[in-house]
Amino acid sequence: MLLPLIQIAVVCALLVYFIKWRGSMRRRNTQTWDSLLSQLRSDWSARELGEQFLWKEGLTATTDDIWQRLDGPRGLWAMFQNARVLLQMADYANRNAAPGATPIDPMVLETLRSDAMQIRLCVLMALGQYAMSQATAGVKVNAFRAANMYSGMAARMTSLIQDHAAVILPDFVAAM
Amino acid sequence: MAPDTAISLAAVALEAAVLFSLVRHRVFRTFPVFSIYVAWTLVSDITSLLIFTFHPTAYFRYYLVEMIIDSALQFTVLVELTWSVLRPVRSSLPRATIYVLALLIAVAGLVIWPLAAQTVPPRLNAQGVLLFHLQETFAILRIVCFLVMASFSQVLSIGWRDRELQIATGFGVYSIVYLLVMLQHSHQLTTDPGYHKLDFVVTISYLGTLSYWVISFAAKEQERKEFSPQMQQLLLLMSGGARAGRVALSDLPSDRLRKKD
Repeated sequence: MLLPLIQIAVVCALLVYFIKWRGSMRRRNTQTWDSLLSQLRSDWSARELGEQFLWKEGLTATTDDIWQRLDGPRGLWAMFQNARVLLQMADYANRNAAPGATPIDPMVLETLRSDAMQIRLCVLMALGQYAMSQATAGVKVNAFRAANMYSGMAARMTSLIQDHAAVILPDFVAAM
Repeated sequence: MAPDTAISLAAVALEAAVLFSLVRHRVFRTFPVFSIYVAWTLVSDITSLLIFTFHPTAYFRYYLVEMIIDSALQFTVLVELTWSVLRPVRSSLPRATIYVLALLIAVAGLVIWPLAAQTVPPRLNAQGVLLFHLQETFAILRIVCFLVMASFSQVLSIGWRDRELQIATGFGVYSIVYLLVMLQHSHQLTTDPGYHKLDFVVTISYLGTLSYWVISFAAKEQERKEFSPQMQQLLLLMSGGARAGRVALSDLPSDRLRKKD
């Protein structure tokens, strides 16, 4: 008697997961650009990553330093979430480019997706290793790679805002 | 008119409407295999109605053959949908990825096959066992595929287009209802009074799925939102990369960048 109930409970749980996932995908497809920007994590700052974070690409500190500046798994998780927003921005761009406008180079979208996915994969690997063995050298190397790519993307974004929307630059710098 | 015939006619009408929507809104260009599958279900259901009416003794044999072809087509639909979901990252994947995907889905089916055998209801004849086994294997395979695709795309944050989401929703909900009924059947005898009432639930969910597809394919895809040149530039710069960098620099009008040029 117990087995059928367990089987049905498992399949019902799958149904609930499926419905929830479907809802989140639907919401993702209807997001506005502003709502995407507002999802960038503002409660954690990557400013500590480098002396010229937001103004210069690349990190010069050691893996140990970066791990400390990231605030460990907390910073990794924030980068993981922000990378998701960057990927959604790429999807938004792909979906909403006006038919008459200059088409977005597929290479650009591809590079953005690739960078954001690499950040997410590096973070996942680092978090997985951290859960198993705390902050070993492998964890710190993965965290460094993720932080390096993240700082590159953030620096390019700052440069753009500075050139095209200087009014919002202070807000952006504060948020990052 | 018998209720079974009325339900079959309703299914045929809805399948024709789904096929019409696929052609009318050019969804078949993006999902040719899924469109072929819908066309197949339409043709096979009409044939099945005719055989049931004029040669009832041959019906079960026909149904078994039809199910085998149907399962093979479902397999190709799963491969097509998975490949379509991977579209954003497709160019960075090796060319043989689609074959690897097909192989992975086939291996998953082979793993599920013996597991599904555990839940075949007692006292079925050999053909009935094969039919039940095949249907349950594919119901589980569809669910497993959608779950893996959903969780994989959530981890990597891969977005699904509206059409992909609509096809997966239809298949997913129908498969889960189907599996629930199959699980219940596995603890029943075919002579139980409630056995065929549960089949009615599957039929209703199938008709619901078809209706959902008719409505969703008829609706236009999400309208474009504003995507200003500033937003485009933002992405250009964020995307980095050598080529992207060149594109961005050549497009930027600021004095600072002009000096660089």
